[in-house]
This record gives sequence, C-alpha cells and structure tokens, in this order.
Amino acid sequence: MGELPLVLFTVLSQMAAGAFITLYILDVKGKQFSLETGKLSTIVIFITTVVSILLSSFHLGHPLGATKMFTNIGSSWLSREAVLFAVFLILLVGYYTQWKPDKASTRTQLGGVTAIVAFLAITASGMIYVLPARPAWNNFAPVLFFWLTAALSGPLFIGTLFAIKGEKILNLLLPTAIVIGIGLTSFLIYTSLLVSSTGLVQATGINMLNSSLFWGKLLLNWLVPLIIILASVLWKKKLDTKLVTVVFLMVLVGEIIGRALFYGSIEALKIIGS
Amino acid sequence: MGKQLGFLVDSERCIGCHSCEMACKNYYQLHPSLRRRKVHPIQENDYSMPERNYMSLACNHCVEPECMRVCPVGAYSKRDDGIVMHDPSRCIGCKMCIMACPYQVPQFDPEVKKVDKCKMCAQLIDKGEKPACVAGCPMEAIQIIDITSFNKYGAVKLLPGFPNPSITKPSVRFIKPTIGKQIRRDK
Repeated sequence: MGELPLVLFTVLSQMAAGAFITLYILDVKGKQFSLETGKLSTIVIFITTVVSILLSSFHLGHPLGATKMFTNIGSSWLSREAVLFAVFLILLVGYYTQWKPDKASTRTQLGGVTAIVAFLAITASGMIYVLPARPAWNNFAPVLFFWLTAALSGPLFIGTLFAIKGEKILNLLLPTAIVIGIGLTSFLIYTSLLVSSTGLVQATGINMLNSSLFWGKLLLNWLVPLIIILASVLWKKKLDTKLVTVVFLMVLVGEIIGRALFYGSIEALKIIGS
Repeated sequence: MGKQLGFLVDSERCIGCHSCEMACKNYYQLHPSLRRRKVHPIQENDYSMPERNYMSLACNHCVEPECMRVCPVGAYSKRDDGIVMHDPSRCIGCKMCIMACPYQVPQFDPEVKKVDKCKMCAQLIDKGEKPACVAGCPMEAIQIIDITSFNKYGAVKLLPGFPNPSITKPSVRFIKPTIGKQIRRDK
C-alpha cells in the first residue's frame, strides 16, 4: 500500500502527542506515579515520535532533503507540521531532564508548553488534508479525526505503560468510553453526510462503505473496546494490565485500519473525459 | 494584477492527434510514464449532439496555485509573467502538490523521485520562441495568451469535465467546439 508510511506516521505521532498530553495532565493533577515512570514515559513518547518521523520519510522521494521542509511555514501546513514536531521533540528532551523531585514547578511549565505544541502539531497534521482538490476532506473532518486518534490512543498508551511499570492502574474506563462515543458518533455522521451528498464526496462515502476497512475500524477501534469497557463497568471489574493492553492494541490496530481507509477511499478532483 | 500568461486551447481546431503531448515529451525527453500535456476526450454526451471533441491540457499556471501554497520546501514559484515554475533542486518528492492540484498536473517521476510539471517552456518564451506543444500542434489549436488583456469573443473559462476554476483560478481559456456539424450514419 503506497500510503503505508503516512498511515503509520500519522497514527503513531498522534498517539505520542496524545500520550504526552495525558502524561502532563496526570502530572499536573498530582496523580501518584514514580519519577522513574514519568521519565520512562517521556522516553517512550520521544522514541515513538522519532520512529513515526523515520517511517514518514519512506514516503519521500528524497528523505535526506527532509530538513528543507522547515522553509515554507508561511503557507504550507506540511511545513508547519514538520516544524511543530521538531519543536515537540526538542521540548521532550527538556521535559525529560525535569523529572527530578525539586523540578516539579519547571516541569509543569515546560510540560504545558510541550502539550500546547503537541496539540498544535496534531492540528497541523489534520490541516494538511483540508484541500479543495479533495472535497470529502475539505472540511473540519481531518482535524477532528486526528484529534480523536490522539484522544483515544494516547491515554491508553500511557495507561498500558503505567500498568506494565506496576503503577496504580489508571481509571480509563469513563474517558475512553466518552472518546469512543464522540468518535463513533462523529464518524457515522460524517459517513452519512458523505453518502447523502453528491459527486466526488458521495463517491468517497461509497468507497468507505464498500471497504472492509470500514467495518474493521468500527469493530476494532470502537465497538469491541466499548463492549469490553461496558462489561467491566457492569461486572464492576477494574481494567487490569492485561485488559488495558488488549484494549490499547485493539484501538491501535483500529486506528491504523481507519487511517488506511482515510487515504484509500478519497476521491480527488480530476479532468473527466470519456 | 500584472501579466499572467496562460494557454488558449481551441477545442474546435483540436483533432485529438496528441502531437502536443509528443512534442513536449520529445523536447524534454521525459520518463515514459510522464506527460506534461495530456489530450482529454470530452464526453460525447456533454453537448446536445454527440460529438468527438478534445481538450488539450498542461499546467494551467493558476493565479492562485495550490501546488505553491502546499509545497513544504518552497519548490514552486511564480514568475512576473505568471508562469508557475518548479525547482527540481528543492523538490524532495513529498507528493503534496500532486495531492493538492485540482487538475492532477504535477506527476511523480519514478526515475529521479521528484515531481515534474509543465513550465510553459519558460526558457523558450524568454527567447521569444513558442513552447514545444504550441509549435508542435499541426492544427494551431494552442496559443500563449496574456489572460489579463485577453478578450476574445467566444472564449470560455471551462469546458465540460474541467474542474471548477474558482479554486485556483487557472490561466487557461478555451474556444468551445462548434456542435452539430457531425452527421452519423444510422444503423
């Protein structure tokens, strides 16, 4: 699949950005976890972002020229995205050094700035695809879905890390259920709007519905995790390490499938000849 | 607005011979998979009478080029005469322009792994010569015009099948084919 590097880059980078924002919120809210876990989480987020960027370079004809991407921030969202993720990585290094008992205040301040940059980087990623030449994308949907990827996979990523490190299991049931609810509703509304439209927008919607990826995303990204969460609530069972990991992996695969659907179903404007 | 060069495509004259495509490919020795100019058949049912007509299209050197807006490395620029240039030495082959152009003009060259597109033979225009496609058309169906001063009766901004020109304001004008001359034998 030609867009695989972009699929993996967007999902992993958004997951890393979402994970950082989660880590920052947990730290600010005074959740109890060790400095070591904070450090490890920062390293893992850094590595995930670097890996995602390296994967994205496979999409380029000349990966070694990627540094030139910082030069057109005046008009290009791709350029802005590159700058924001570079700044994110630099700030992560600084944030990593602040995991010391006497650095809580500076860590909070630096973490706040890093979280804002992470959010802006996800937004820039979404804005890249708001293109008049791709009518089904030429709206708020790419930005919204990229935010939702970060909001769903990021906390689960941190939850899994914390669980593996033996920290107190984060209560992710309610936040995950809410994000799944928003994601599922907005995705179904978006698909319905596409299908009920005309021309290329409708064709994109039909491509989505005709793709097995659509159903794969529905199941793995939302329905099965939601059923697991509802079952946990019903049986008053807290998510343990195994269950958090299973839900996280399921969501991650669902996000990758969903992003493949995003790139694979789009119809672009073209010259129509017989 | 200053000068804005563009193509005038006369679909009444065009016979779909693809000479313009070949003249360009030959002049620039393009990769076999690339065509900077393409002759598109107009759908037969787009006019009131079934007709076989064509529109020959290359880069439209838009007034507001999407390729230039989205390119992260600034490989695109617009000359004072409105020609949209692409600098291969800056291009990194990210394909963003391919995604953004409503006319699918930029193409990925699999050999050099960069994007390629029509530059209206700017180097020939600077010498007062005609672009390869214009010179190569046996029907004289393609001309270079300055759309800021161009005001020919009957010229239009789009033909059936051409995407909405309001997105990028393409610098191309068409002479519509005359409909109703073709006589078809009944079965």
